[in-house]
Amino acid sequence: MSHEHETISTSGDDDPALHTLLEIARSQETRPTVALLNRLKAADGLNWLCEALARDCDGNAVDAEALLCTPDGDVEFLRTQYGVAKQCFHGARNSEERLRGLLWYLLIMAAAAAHHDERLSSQPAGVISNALLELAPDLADPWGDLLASGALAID
Amino acid sequence: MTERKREHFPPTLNTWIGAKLRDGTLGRGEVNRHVMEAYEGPLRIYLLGTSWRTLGEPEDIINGFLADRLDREEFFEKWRGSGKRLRHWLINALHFYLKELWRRDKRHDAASLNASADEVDDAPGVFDRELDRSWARSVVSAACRDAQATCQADGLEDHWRLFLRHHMDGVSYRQCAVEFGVDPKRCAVMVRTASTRFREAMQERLRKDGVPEVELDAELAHLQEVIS
Repeated sequence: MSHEHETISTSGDDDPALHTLLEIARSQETRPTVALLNRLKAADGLNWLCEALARDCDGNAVDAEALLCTPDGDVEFLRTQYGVAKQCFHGARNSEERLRGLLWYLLIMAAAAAHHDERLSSQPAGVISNALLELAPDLADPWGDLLASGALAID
Repeated sequence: MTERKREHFPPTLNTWIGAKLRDGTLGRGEVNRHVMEAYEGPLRIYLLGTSWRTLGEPEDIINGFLADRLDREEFFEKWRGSGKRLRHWLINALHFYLKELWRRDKRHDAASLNASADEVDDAPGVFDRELDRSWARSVVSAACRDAQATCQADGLEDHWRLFLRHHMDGVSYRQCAVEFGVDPKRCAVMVRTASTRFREAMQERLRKDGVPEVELDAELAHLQEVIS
């Protein structure tokens, strides 16, 4: 191994890595991104994805691919929808609605970063890019690529 | 065993340790080795933080303690009835052992023994917390070794290296991707795989300590809290 190092010191005071590892060890089932991953992996996951992206968070029919996957998307619209998606995620009446809000929330953040060089969230870059990259491998393209590009633009 | 104690029967005894103990001498040897490997360090660090450290070399004391207690046929049966985490059961047993050592030392009379014993028994929660602090670090370290071993066994060495680079060294996925010559999406998948191995290893370590399945998350939250 080129990066041989002690996994964690057994002496000394608290360190952030120890906290991180204890957090990783906790069951991940209740984390929102894991819930979204599980929804996408369900038998009807692809249909659910298509339906979720057919309308924006205000309920209007949209061409999500044109809006999110190219630099031609209206950045002002993204800023507005970011707020609506966030509200939808936090204030949803049921889990499906909540996951739909989260999906839009993450895709909008990725699109703003990847195509408009804009950071919409004030959360630490590492937290956002980790969340985007966590979902990217399991999301069909172009959405998986969009999340990965967004993560790299933010990281 | 009282009914109350039965209710708190640690599920772990129905799992790994329980199965090993039912295996007879070989299984018992495996359990003893696990206890020595997992608890020697935390107990020694704990001892160093108490006034008992003046009794002798901490390493000798802890090794003597483990050799003495693990040799007792009924040791794990008694733990079974206690409903305690194994580490807390060991710390209680260590205190009894230290008192025995003290008694053997002819320099100390009964009066000073009683004073010391009272001091120890007054606040077991404080001692548990002190032990938990060193045990948290030790168990995470052990789980890392376990996870690394399973990754190596399955040819996932790069997954584990990436996990350490990203989570331990704080290197971004972008930089990891450059270092390892894989695209960032692949990086994320590899780190996630190693994370799962680590999570499984850590949770198995906790189960062996007597943590019931439904309390795993709460136990991890407790460990995060005690190291803060």
